[in-house]
Amino acid sequence: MQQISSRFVLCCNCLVKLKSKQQGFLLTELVCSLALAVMLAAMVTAGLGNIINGWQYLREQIQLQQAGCYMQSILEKNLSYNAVAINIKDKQEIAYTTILGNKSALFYCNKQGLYLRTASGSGVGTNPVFLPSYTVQQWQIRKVNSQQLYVSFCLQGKYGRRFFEQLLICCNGEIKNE
Amino acid sequence: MSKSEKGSVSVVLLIICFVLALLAHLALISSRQELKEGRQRVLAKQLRHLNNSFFMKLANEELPSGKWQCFQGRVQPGKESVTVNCKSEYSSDGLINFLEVKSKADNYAGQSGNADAVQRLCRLKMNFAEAQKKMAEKYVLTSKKATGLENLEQEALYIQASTEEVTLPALSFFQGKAASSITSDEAVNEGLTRRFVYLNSSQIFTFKKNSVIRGQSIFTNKASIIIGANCHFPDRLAMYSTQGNITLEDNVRLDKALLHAYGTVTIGSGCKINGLIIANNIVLKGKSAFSADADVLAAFASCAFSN
Repeated sequence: MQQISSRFVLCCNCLVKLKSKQQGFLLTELVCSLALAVMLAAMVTAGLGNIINGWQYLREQIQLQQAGCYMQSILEKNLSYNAVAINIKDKQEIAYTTILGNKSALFYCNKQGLYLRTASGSGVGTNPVFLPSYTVQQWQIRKVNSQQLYVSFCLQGKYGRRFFEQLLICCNGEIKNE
Repeated sequence: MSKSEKGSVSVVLLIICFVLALLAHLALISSRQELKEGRQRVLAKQLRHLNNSFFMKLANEELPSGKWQCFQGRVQPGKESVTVNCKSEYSSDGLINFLEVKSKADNYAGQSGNADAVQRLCRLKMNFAEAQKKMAEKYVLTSKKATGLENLEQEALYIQASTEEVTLPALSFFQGKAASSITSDEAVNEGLTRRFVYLNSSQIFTFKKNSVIRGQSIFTNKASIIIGANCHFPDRLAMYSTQGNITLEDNVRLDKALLHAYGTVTIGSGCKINGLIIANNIVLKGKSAFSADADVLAAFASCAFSN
Protein backbone atom coordinates (compact mmCIF):
# COMPACT_ATOMS: atom_id res chain seq x y z
CA MET A 1 0.00 0.00 0.00
CA GLN A 2 2.79 2.29 0.95
CA GLN A 3 4.55 1.33 -2.29
CA ILE A 4 1.47 2.28 -4.37
CA SER A 5 1.08 5.60 -2.60
CA SER A 6 4.78 6.41 -2.97
CA ARG A 7 4.57 5.54 -6.71
CA PHE A 8 1.48 7.75 -7.10
CA VAL A 9 3.37 10.60 -5.41
CA LEU A 10 6.30 9.98 -7.74
CA CYS A 11 4.01 10.11 -10.80
CA CYS A 12 2.47 13.34 -9.60
CA ASN A 13 5.93 14.81 -9.05
CA CYS A 14 6.90 13.73 -12.58
CA LEU A 15 3.80 15.39 -14.00
CA VAL A 16 4.53 18.57 -12.08
CA LYS A 17 8.12 18.51 -13.30
CA LEU A 18 6.95 17.83 -16.86
CA LYS A 19 4.49 20.68 -16.63
CA SER A 20 7.22 22.98 -15.40
CA LYS A 21 9.51 21.89 -18.20
CA GLN A 22 6.63 21.64 -20.78
CA GLN A 23 8.11 18.39 -22.17
CA GLY A 24 5.74 15.65 -23.39
CA PHE A 25 2.92 16.86 -21.20
CA LEU A 26 0.41 17.21 -24.07
CA LEU A 27 0.68 13.52 -25.06
CA THR A 28 0.11 12.34 -21.46
CA GLU A 29 -2.85 14.67 -21.11
CA LEU A 30 -4.29 13.39 -24.39
CA VAL A 31 -3.90 9.75 -23.34
CA CYS A 32 -5.55 10.45 -19.99
CA SER A 33 -8.42 12.33 -21.55
CA LEU A 34 -8.93 9.62 -24.20
CA ALA A 35 -9.01 6.95 -21.50
CA LEU A 36 -11.52 9.04 -19.57
CA ALA A 37 -13.59 9.59 -22.70
CA VAL A 38 -13.64 5.84 -23.51
CA MET A 39 -14.69 5.07 -19.94
CA LEU A 40 -17.44 7.68 -20.06
CA ALA A 41 -18.62 6.48 -23.49
CA ALA A 42 -18.84 2.92 -22.20
CA MET A 43 -20.86 4.07 -19.20
CA VAL A 44 -23.19 6.20 -21.35
CA THR A 45 -23.68 3.38 -23.90
CA ALA A 46 -24.51 0.87 -21.18
CA GLY A 47 -26.90 3.34 -19.56
CA LEU A 48 -28.51 4.27 -22.85
CA GLY A 49 -28.94 0.58 -23.75
CA ASN A 50 -30.78 -0.01 -20.50
CA ILE A 51 -32.92 3.09 -21.03
CA ILE A 52 -33.79 2.04 -24.60
CA ASN A 53 -34.62 -1.52 -23.49
CA GLY A 54 -36.76 -0.19 -20.64
CA TRP A 55 -38.47 2.26 -22.95
CA GLN A 56 -39.24 -0.46 -25.51
CA TYR A 57 -40.59 -2.71 -22.76
CA LEU A 58 -42.76 0.06 -21.37
CA ARG A 59 -44.02 1.04 -24.82
CA GLU A 60 -44.90 -2.58 -25.56
CA GLN A 61 -46.68 -2.95 -22.24
CA ILE A 62 -48.83 0.09 -23.11
CA GLN A 63 -49.55 -1.37 -26.54
CA LEU A 64 -50.37 -4.76 -25.01
CA GLN A 65 -52.74 -3.04 -22.58
CA GLN A 66 -54.47 -1.23 -25.45
CA ALA A 67 -54.69 -4.42 -27.53
CA GLY A 68 -56.11 -6.32 -24.54
CA CYS A 69 -58.68 -3.59 -23.87
CA TYR A 70 -59.72 -3.68 -27.53
CA MET A 71 -60.25 -7.45 -27.32
CA GLN A 72 -62.11 -7.14 -24.03
CA SER A 73 -64.42 -4.47 -25.45
CA ILE A 74 -65.35 -6.73 -28.40
CA LEU A 75 -65.96 -9.67 -26.06
CA GLU A 76 -68.08 -7.47 -23.78
CA LYS A 77 -70.16 -5.99 -26.60
CA ASN A 78 -70.86 -9.40 -28.12
CA LEU A 79 -71.38 -11.48 -25.00
CA SER A 80 -72.89 -8.98 -22.57
CA TYR A 81 -75.40 -7.33 -24.87
CA ASN A 82 -75.77 -9.25 -28.15
CA ALA A 83 -75.71 -12.89 -27.03
CA VAL A 84 -78.92 -14.76 -26.25
CA ALA A 85 -78.04 -18.41 -25.69
CA ILE A 86 -74.40 -19.03 -24.81
CA ASN A 87 -72.68 -22.43 -24.95
CA ILE A 88 -69.17 -23.00 -23.62
CA LYS A 89 -67.26 -25.85 -25.27
CA ASP A 90 -64.30 -27.32 -23.34
CA LYS A 91 -63.49 -23.95 -21.75
CA GLN A 92 -62.09 -22.92 -25.15
CA GLU A 93 -64.97 -21.94 -27.42
CA ILE A 94 -68.01 -19.77 -26.90
CA ALA A 95 -70.89 -20.37 -29.29
CA TYR A 96 -73.92 -18.11 -29.06
CA THR A 97 -77.02 -16.99 -30.88
CA THR A 98 -77.50 -13.25 -31.13
CA ILE A 99 -80.46 -10.96 -30.54
CA LEU A 100 -80.88 -11.08 -34.32
CA GLY A 101 -82.73 -14.33 -34.95
CA ASN A 102 -80.83 -15.56 -38.00
CA LYS A 103 -77.37 -14.66 -36.71
CA SER A 104 -75.11 -16.87 -34.61
CA ALA A 105 -71.44 -16.57 -33.70
CA LEU A 106 -68.48 -18.43 -32.26
CA PHE A 107 -65.38 -17.15 -30.43
CA TYR A 108 -62.48 -19.54 -30.75
CA CYS A 109 -58.73 -19.57 -30.30
CA ASN A 110 -56.58 -20.93 -33.13
CA LYS A 111 -52.80 -20.75 -33.74
CA GLN A 112 -52.36 -18.26 -30.91
CA GLY A 113 -55.03 -15.93 -32.24
CA LEU A 114 -58.62 -15.22 -31.24
CA TYR A 115 -61.27 -15.27 -33.95
CA LEU A 116 -65.00 -14.56 -34.26
CA ARG A 117 -66.93 -16.64 -36.76
CA THR A 118 -70.34 -15.21 -37.63
CA ALA A 119 -73.06 -17.08 -39.48
CA SER A 120 -76.21 -15.49 -40.88
CA GLY A 121 -78.57 -15.92 -43.80
CA SER A 122 -76.06 -14.19 -46.05
CA GLY A 123 -73.22 -16.63 -45.26
CA VAL A 124 -70.38 -17.33 -42.87
CA GLY A 125 -67.46 -15.01 -42.13
CA THR A 126 -64.50 -15.07 -39.78
CA ASN A 127 -62.79 -12.00 -38.33
CA PRO A 128 -59.72 -11.80 -36.11
CA VAL A 129 -60.31 -10.31 -32.66
CA PHE A 130 -56.63 -9.69 -31.91
CA LEU A 131 -53.73 -7.64 -33.21
CA PRO A 132 -51.38 -9.77 -35.34
CA SER A 133 -48.26 -8.37 -33.63
CA TYR A 134 -49.18 -10.13 -30.37
CA THR A 135 -50.08 -13.76 -29.76
CA VAL A 136 -52.99 -14.91 -27.60
CA GLN A 137 -52.14 -17.51 -24.97
CA GLN A 138 -53.90 -19.21 -22.05
CA TRP A 139 -57.34 -18.40 -23.51
CA GLN A 140 -59.91 -19.69 -21.06
CA ILE A 141 -63.64 -19.28 -20.43
CA ARG A 142 -65.50 -20.32 -17.29
CA LYS A 143 -69.16 -20.16 -16.36
CA VAL A 144 -69.60 -18.43 -12.99
CA ASN A 145 -73.37 -18.72 -12.91
CA SER A 146 -76.19 -18.76 -15.45
CA GLN A 147 -75.59 -15.11 -16.34
CA GLN A 148 -71.94 -14.47 -15.50
CA LEU A 149 -68.95 -15.49 -17.52
CA TYR A 150 -65.25 -15.31 -16.60
CA VAL A 151 -62.86 -14.82 -19.53
CA SER A 152 -59.08 -14.72 -19.25
CA PHE A 153 -56.20 -14.63 -21.72
CA CYS A 154 -52.59 -13.58 -21.98
CA LEU A 155 -51.05 -11.44 -24.71
CA GLN A 156 -47.43 -12.21 -25.58
CA GLY A 157 -45.28 -9.51 -27.13
CA LYS A 158 -41.60 -9.34 -28.12
CA TYR A 159 -40.31 -8.10 -24.77
CA GLY A 160 -43.01 -9.13 -22.33
CA ARG A 161 -46.52 -10.39 -21.74
CA ARG A 162 -49.68 -9.14 -20.09
CA PHE A 163 -52.52 -11.08 -18.49
CA PHE A 164 -56.15 -10.04 -18.87
CA GLU A 165 -59.24 -11.25 -17.08
CA GLN A 166 -62.80 -10.00 -16.99
CA LEU A 167 -66.16 -10.92 -15.55
CA LEU A 168 -68.98 -10.46 -18.03
CA ILE A 169 -72.62 -10.06 -17.06
CA CYS A 170 -74.66 -11.48 -19.92
CA CYS A 171 -77.72 -9.22 -19.85
CA ASN A 172 -79.66 -11.11 -22.52
CA GLY A 173 -78.29 -14.58 -22.36
CA GLU A 174 -78.20 -17.77 -20.41
CA ILE A 175 -74.91 -19.63 -20.19
CA LYS A 176 -74.58 -23.38 -20.57
CA ASN A 177 -71.60 -25.71 -20.43
CA GLU A 178 -71.40 -28.35 -23.13
CA MET B 1 -10.55 33.95 -31.24
CA SER B 2 -9.93 32.57 -27.74
CA LYS B 3 -12.25 35.23 -26.34
CA SER B 4 -15.05 34.19 -28.70
CA GLU B 5 -14.60 30.51 -27.66
CA LYS B 6 -15.07 31.25 -23.98
CA GLY B 7 -18.11 29.49 -22.52
CA SER B 8 -18.70 27.32 -25.61
CA VAL B 9 -18.74 24.14 -23.49
CA SER B 10 -21.38 25.65 -21.26
CA VAL B 11 -23.58 26.46 -24.29
CA VAL B 12 -23.35 22.85 -25.49
CA LEU B 13 -24.13 21.59 -22.01
CA LEU B 14 -27.09 23.97 -21.80
CA ILE B 15 -28.43 22.74 -25.14
CA ILE B 16 -28.09 19.10 -24.00
CA CYS B 17 -29.85 19.95 -20.72
CA PHE B 18 -32.60 21.73 -22.66
CA VAL B 19 -33.11 18.75 -24.99
CA LEU B 20 -33.17 16.34 -22.03
CA ALA B 21 -35.66 18.56 -20.18
CA LEU B 22 -37.83 18.71 -23.31
CA LEU B 23 -37.77 14.92 -23.66
CA ALA B 24 -38.61 14.49 -19.98
CA HIS B 25 -41.51 16.90 -20.35
CA LEU B 26 -42.84 15.05 -23.42
CA ALA B 27 -42.59 11.76 -21.52
CA LEU B 28 -44.49 13.35 -18.62
CA ILE B 29 -47.28 14.61 -20.92
CA SER B 30 -47.51 11.22 -22.62
CA SER B 31 -47.67 9.31 -19.32
CA ARG B 32 -50.27 11.74 -17.97
CA GLN B 33 -52.40 11.19 -21.06
CA GLU B 34 -52.02 7.43 -20.70
CA LEU B 35 -52.97 7.65 -17.03
CA LYS B 36 -56.04 9.74 -17.86
CA GLU B 37 -57.15 7.26 -20.54
CA GLY B 38 -56.54 4.35 -18.18
CA ARG B 39 -58.62 6.01 -15.46
CA GLN B 40 -61.47 6.70 -17.84
CA ARG B 41 -61.35 3.10 -19.04
CA VAL B 42 -61.59 1.84 -15.49
CA LEU B 43 -64.37 4.31 -14.72
CA ALA B 44 -66.37 3.24 -17.79
CA LYS B 45 -65.98 -0.40 -16.76
CA GLN B 46 -67.09 0.35 -13.21
CA LEU B 47 -70.11 2.27 -14.52
CA ARG B 48 -71.06 -0.59 -16.83
CA HIS B 49 -70.83 -3.14 -14.01
CA LEU B 50 -72.83 -0.92 -11.69
CA ASN B 51 -75.42 -0.24 -14.36
CA ASN B 52 -75.74 -3.88 -15.43
CA SER B 53 -76.13 -5.04 -11.83
CA PHE B 54 -78.96 -2.59 -11.11
CA PHE B 55 -80.58 -3.34 -14.45
CA MET B 56 -80.55 -7.10 -13.86
CA LYS B 57 -82.18 -6.56 -10.48
CA LEU B 58 -84.87 -4.18 -11.76
CA ALA B 59 -85.63 -5.87 -15.10
CA ASN B 60 -87.70 -8.63 -13.52
CA GLU B 61 -89.71 -6.37 -11.21
CA GLU B 62 -93.08 -4.79 -11.93
CA LEU B 63 -92.27 -1.12 -11.49
CA PRO B 64 -94.75 1.74 -11.29
CA SER B 65 -94.31 4.78 -13.51
CA GLY B 66 -91.69 7.24 -12.25
CA LYS B 67 -88.02 8.09 -11.77
CA TRP B 68 -85.72 7.02 -8.91
CA GLN B 69 -82.16 7.41 -7.84
CA CYS B 70 -80.90 3.90 -7.18
CA PHE B 71 -77.39 4.71 -6.03
CA GLN B 72 -75.11 7.63 -5.32
CA GLY B 73 -71.52 7.19 -4.26
CA ARG B 74 -67.87 7.42 -5.17
CA VAL B 75 -65.66 4.95 -6.99
CA GLN B 76 -61.90 4.55 -6.86
CA PRO B 77 -59.44 5.64 -8.20
CA GLY B 78 -59.98 9.37 -8.05
CA LYS B 79 -63.05 9.28 -5.79
CA GLU B 80 -65.26 9.88 -8.81
CA SER B 81 -68.84 10.73 -7.93
CA VAL B 82 -71.34 8.43 -9.70
CA THR B 83 -75.12 8.20 -9.68
CA VAL B 84 -77.43 5.47 -10.96
CA ASN B 85 -80.93 6.53 -11.97
CA CYS B 86 -83.89 4.43 -13.03
CA LYS B 87 -86.87 5.47 -15.12
CA SER B 88 -90.04 3.47 -15.69
CA GLU B 89 -92.57 4.71 -18.22
CA TYR B 90 -95.88 3.27 -19.48
CA SER B 91 -97.80 3.75 -22.72
CA SER B 92 -101.15 5.56 -22.57
CA ASP B 93 -103.05 2.25 -22.38
CA GLY B 94 -100.70 0.92 -19.69
CA LEU B 95 -99.75 -2.13 -21.75
CA ILE B 96 -96.18 -1.26 -22.71
CA ASN B 97 -93.46 -0.55 -20.19
CA PHE B 98 -90.11 1.09 -20.88
CA LEU B 99 -87.38 0.68 -18.30
CA GLU B 100 -84.17 2.70 -18.42
CA VAL B 101 -81.26 2.42 -16.00
CA LYS B 102 -78.61 5.10 -16.45
CA SER B 103 -75.28 5.43 -14.64
CA LYS B 104 -73.41 8.69 -14.79
CA ALA B 105 -69.96 9.88 -13.70
CA ASP B 106 -70.93 13.37 -12.55
CA ASN B 107 -67.61 15.10 -13.27
CA TYR B 108 -67.18 13.71 -16.77
CA ALA B 109 -70.77 13.47 -18.02
CA GLY B 110 -70.93 17.03 -19.34
CA GLN B 111 -67.65 16.86 -21.23
CA SER B 112 -67.89 16.42 -24.97
CA GLY B 113 -66.31 13.34 -26.45
CA ASN B 114 -66.70 11.41 -23.22
CA ALA B 115 -69.47 9.00 -24.11
CA ASP B 116 -68.19 6.40 -21.64
CA ALA B 117 -69.11 8.64 -18.70
CA VAL B 118 -72.77 7.74 -19.17
CA GLN B 119 -73.82 4.09 -19.40
CA ARG B 120 -77.41 3.18 -20.21
CA LEU B 121 -79.47 0.01 -20.48
CA CYS B 122 -83.11 -0.16 -21.54
CA ARG B 123 -85.81 -2.76 -21.92
CA LEU B 124 -89.32 -2.81 -23.40
CA LYS B 125 -92.00 -5.09 -22.05
CA MET B 126 -95.42 -5.60 -23.54
CA ASN B 127 -98.52 -6.97 -21.87
CA PHE B 128 -101.68 -7.75 -23.77
CA ALA B 129 -105.27 -6.75 -23.08
CA GLU B 130 -107.15 -9.15 -20.81
CA ALA B 131 -109.98 -9.54 -23.33
CA GLN B 132 -107.51 -10.66 -26.00
CA LYS B 133 -105.77 -13.04 -23.58
CA LYS B 134 -109.06 -14.79 -22.91
CA MET B 135 -109.74 -15.12 -26.63
CA ALA B 136 -106.31 -16.61 -27.26
CA GLU B 137 -107.12 -19.60 -25.05
CA LYS B 138 -109.89 -20.82 -27.38
CA TYR B 139 -109.85 -18.95 -30.65
CA VAL B 140 -107.45 -18.30 -33.52
CA LEU B 141 -109.44 -15.87 -35.64
CA THR B 142 -111.25 -12.89 -34.22
CA SER B 143 -112.67 -9.98 -36.18
CA LYS B 144 -115.73 -7.79 -36.64
CA LYS B 145 -116.27 -9.12 -40.17
CA ALA B 146 -115.08 -12.29 -41.88
CA THR B 147 -115.13 -13.58 -45.45
CA GLY B 148 -114.43 -17.14 -46.63
CA LEU B 149 -115.28 -18.82 -43.36
CA GLU B 150 -116.45 -21.80 -45.36
CA ASN B 151 -112.75 -22.60 -45.77
CA LEU B 152 -112.37 -22.91 -42.01
CA GLU B 153 -112.54 -26.57 -41.03
CA GLN B 154 -113.02 -25.90 -37.31
CA GLU B 155 -115.65 -23.18 -37.08
CA ALA B 156 -115.18 -23.03 -33.30
CA LEU B 157 -111.85 -21.29 -33.85
CA TYR B 158 -113.54 -18.11 -35.07
CA ILE B 159 -115.25 -15.54 -32.85
CA GLN B 160 -116.84 -12.26 -33.79
CA ALA B 161 -115.20 -9.53 -31.79
CA SER B 162 -116.32 -6.17 -30.45
CA THR B 163 -114.62 -2.87 -31.36
CA GLU B 164 -112.87 -2.89 -27.99
CA GLU B 165 -111.45 -6.37 -28.60
CA VAL B 166 -109.93 -5.42 -31.93
CA THR B 167 -108.48 -2.14 -30.67
CA LEU B 168 -104.74 -1.90 -31.25
CA PRO B 169 -102.43 -1.17 -28.32
CA ALA B 170 -100.69 2.22 -28.13
CA LEU B 171 -97.82 1.06 -30.33
CA SER B 172 -96.55 4.56 -31.13
CA PHE B 173 -94.92 4.29 -27.68
CA PHE B 174 -92.26 2.16 -29.39
CA GLN B 175 -91.16 5.13 -31.49
CA GLY B 176 -87.61 6.17 -30.60
CA LYS B 177 -87.24 3.15 -28.33
CA ALA B 178 -87.48 0.08 -30.58
CA ALA B 179 -85.35 -0.42 -33.71
CA SER B 180 -86.62 1.88 -36.43
CA SER B 181 -85.16 0.46 -39.61
CA ILE B 182 -85.06 -2.91 -41.28
CA THR B 183 -85.13 -3.92 -44.92
CA SER B 184 -86.59 -7.04 -46.51
CA ASP B 185 -83.08 -8.36 -47.18
CA GLU B 186 -81.96 -7.73 -43.59
CA ALA B 187 -85.01 -9.58 -42.32
CA VAL B 188 -84.04 -12.62 -44.42
CA ASN B 189 -80.31 -12.48 -43.70
CA GLU B 190 -80.21 -11.45 -40.06
CA GLY B 191 -83.72 -12.22 -38.85
CA LEU B 192 -85.86 -10.12 -36.56
CA THR B 193 -84.27 -8.36 -33.63
CA ARG B 194 -85.23 -9.06 -30.05
CA ARG B 195 -85.07 -5.34 -29.48
CA PHE B 196 -88.45 -5.11 -31.31
CA VAL B 197 -89.08 -3.18 -34.53
CA TYR B 198 -91.27 -0.13 -35.03
CA LEU B 199 -91.46 1.21 -38.59
CA ASN B 200 -93.23 4.52 -38.82
CA SER B 201 -93.35 4.17 -42.57
CA SER B 202 -96.10 4.61 -45.14
CA GLN B 203 -94.48 1.95 -47.34
CA ILE B 204 -95.67 -1.64 -47.45
CA PHE B 205 -93.18 -4.02 -45.83
CA THR B 206 -92.73 -7.35 -47.60
CA PHE B 207 -91.18 -10.50 -46.18
CA LYS B 208 -89.68 -12.22 -49.22
CA LYS B 209 -91.19 -15.53 -50.23
CA ASN B 210 -89.52 -18.87 -49.40
CA SER B 211 -87.59 -17.43 -46.47
CA VAL B 212 -87.12 -18.66 -42.90
CA ILE B 213 -87.17 -15.70 -40.56
CA ARG B 214 -86.02 -16.39 -37.03
CA GLY B 215 -86.08 -14.15 -34.00
CA GLN B 216 -88.48 -13.46 -31.16
CA SER B 217 -89.82 -10.01 -31.84
CA ILE B 218 -92.65 -7.54 -31.97
CA PHE B 219 -92.78 -6.19 -35.51
CA THR B 220 -94.87 -3.10 -36.18
CA ASN B 221 -95.39 -1.24 -39.44
CA LYS B 222 -97.67 1.76 -39.88
CA ALA B 223 -98.57 0.66 -43.43
CA SER B 224 -99.47 -2.82 -44.67
CA ILE B 225 -97.36 -5.96 -44.30
CA ILE B 226 -97.11 -8.76 -46.86
CA ILE B 227 -95.73 -12.18 -45.92
CA GLY B 228 -94.53 -13.93 -49.07
CA ALA B 229 -95.51 -17.46 -50.01
CA ASN B 230 -93.77 -20.33 -48.16
CA CYS B 231 -92.36 -18.05 -45.47
CA HIS B 232 -91.68 -19.68 -42.13
CA PHE B 233 -91.49 -17.89 -38.75
CA PRO B 234 -90.34 -20.52 -36.24
CA ASP B 235 -90.03 -18.20 -33.21
CA ARG B 236 -92.50 -16.24 -31.16
CA LEU B 237 -93.78 -13.19 -33.03
CA ALA B 238 -96.28 -10.38 -32.60
CA MET B 239 -96.94 -8.51 -35.82
CA TYR B 240 -98.93 -5.30 -36.07
CA SER B 241 -100.06 -3.08 -38.92
CA THR B 242 -101.36 0.06 -37.23
CA GLN B 243 -103.00 1.65 -40.27
CA GLY B 244 -102.96 -1.04 -42.94
CA ASN B 245 -103.54 -4.69 -43.71
CA ILE B 246 -101.60 -7.92 -43.25
CA THR B 247 -101.53 -10.34 -46.17
CA LEU B 248 -100.35 -13.92 -45.84
CA GLU B 249 -99.68 -15.54 -49.18
CA ASP B 250 -99.99 -19.30 -49.70
CA ASN B 251 -98.26 -21.85 -47.46
CA VAL B 252 -97.05 -19.41 -44.83
CA ARG B 253 -96.10 -21.06 -41.56
CA LEU B 254 -96.30 -19.21 -38.23
CA ASP B 255 -95.30 -21.38 -35.26
CA LYS B 256 -96.25 -18.98 -32.46
CA ALA B 257 -97.67 -15.70 -33.65
CA LEU B 258 -100.09 -12.89 -32.97
CA LEU B 259 -101.16 -10.98 -36.07
CA HIS B 260 -103.11 -7.80 -35.47
CA ALA B 261 -104.09 -5.42 -38.25
CA TYR B 262 -106.11 -2.24 -38.24
CA GLY B 263 -107.74 -3.19 -41.57
CA THR B 264 -107.90 -6.66 -43.10
CA VAL B 265 -105.90 -9.83 -42.53
CA THR B 266 -105.94 -11.93 -45.68
CA ILE B 267 -104.85 -15.57 -45.39
CA GLY B 268 -103.89 -17.60 -48.46
CA SER B 269 -104.34 -21.33 -48.78
CA GLY B 270 -102.17 -24.01 -47.22
CA CYS B 271 -101.05 -21.82 -44.32
CA LYS B 272 -100.26 -23.30 -40.92
CA ILE B 273 -100.84 -20.89 -38.07
CA ASN B 274 -100.46 -21.40 -34.34
CA GLY B 275 -101.59 -18.36 -32.39
CA LEU B 276 -104.15 -15.59 -32.75
CA ILE B 277 -105.23 -13.29 -35.57
CA ILE B 278 -107.10 -10.08 -34.77
CA ALA B 279 -108.44 -7.57 -37.30
CA ASN B 280 -111.48 -5.57 -38.28
CA ASN B 281 -111.88 -7.91 -41.23
CA ILE B 282 -110.51 -11.39 -41.93
CA VAL B 283 -110.48 -12.95 -45.39
CA LEU B 284 -109.78 -16.66 -45.86
CA LYS B 285 -108.79 -17.41 -49.44
CA GLY B 286 -108.37 -21.16 -49.04
CA LYS B 287 -108.04 -23.97 -46.58
CA SER B 288 -105.43 -23.57 -43.88
CA ALA B 289 -104.57 -25.23 -40.57
CA PHE B 290 -105.09 -23.24 -37.38
CA SER B 291 -104.42 -23.95 -33.71
CA ALA B 292 -104.95 -21.81 -30.63
CA ASP B 293 -102.08 -20.99 -28.27
CA ALA B 294 -102.61 -18.88 -25.17
CA ASP B 295 -98.83 -18.44 -24.74
CA VAL B 296 -98.64 -16.02 -27.65
CA LEU B 297 -100.23 -13.41 -25.40
CA ALA B 298 -97.94 -13.93 -22.42
CA ALA B 299 -95.92 -10.84 -21.42
CA PHE B 300 -93.26 -10.17 -24.07
CA ALA B 301 -89.98 -8.55 -23.03
CA SER B 302 -87.33 -7.20 -25.38
CA CYS B 303 -83.62 -7.75 -24.93
CA ALA B 304 -81.57 -5.27 -22.94
CA PHE B 305 -80.28 -2.58 -25.28
CA SER B 306 -78.15 0.46 -24.76
CA ASN B 307 -79.11 3.03 -27.39
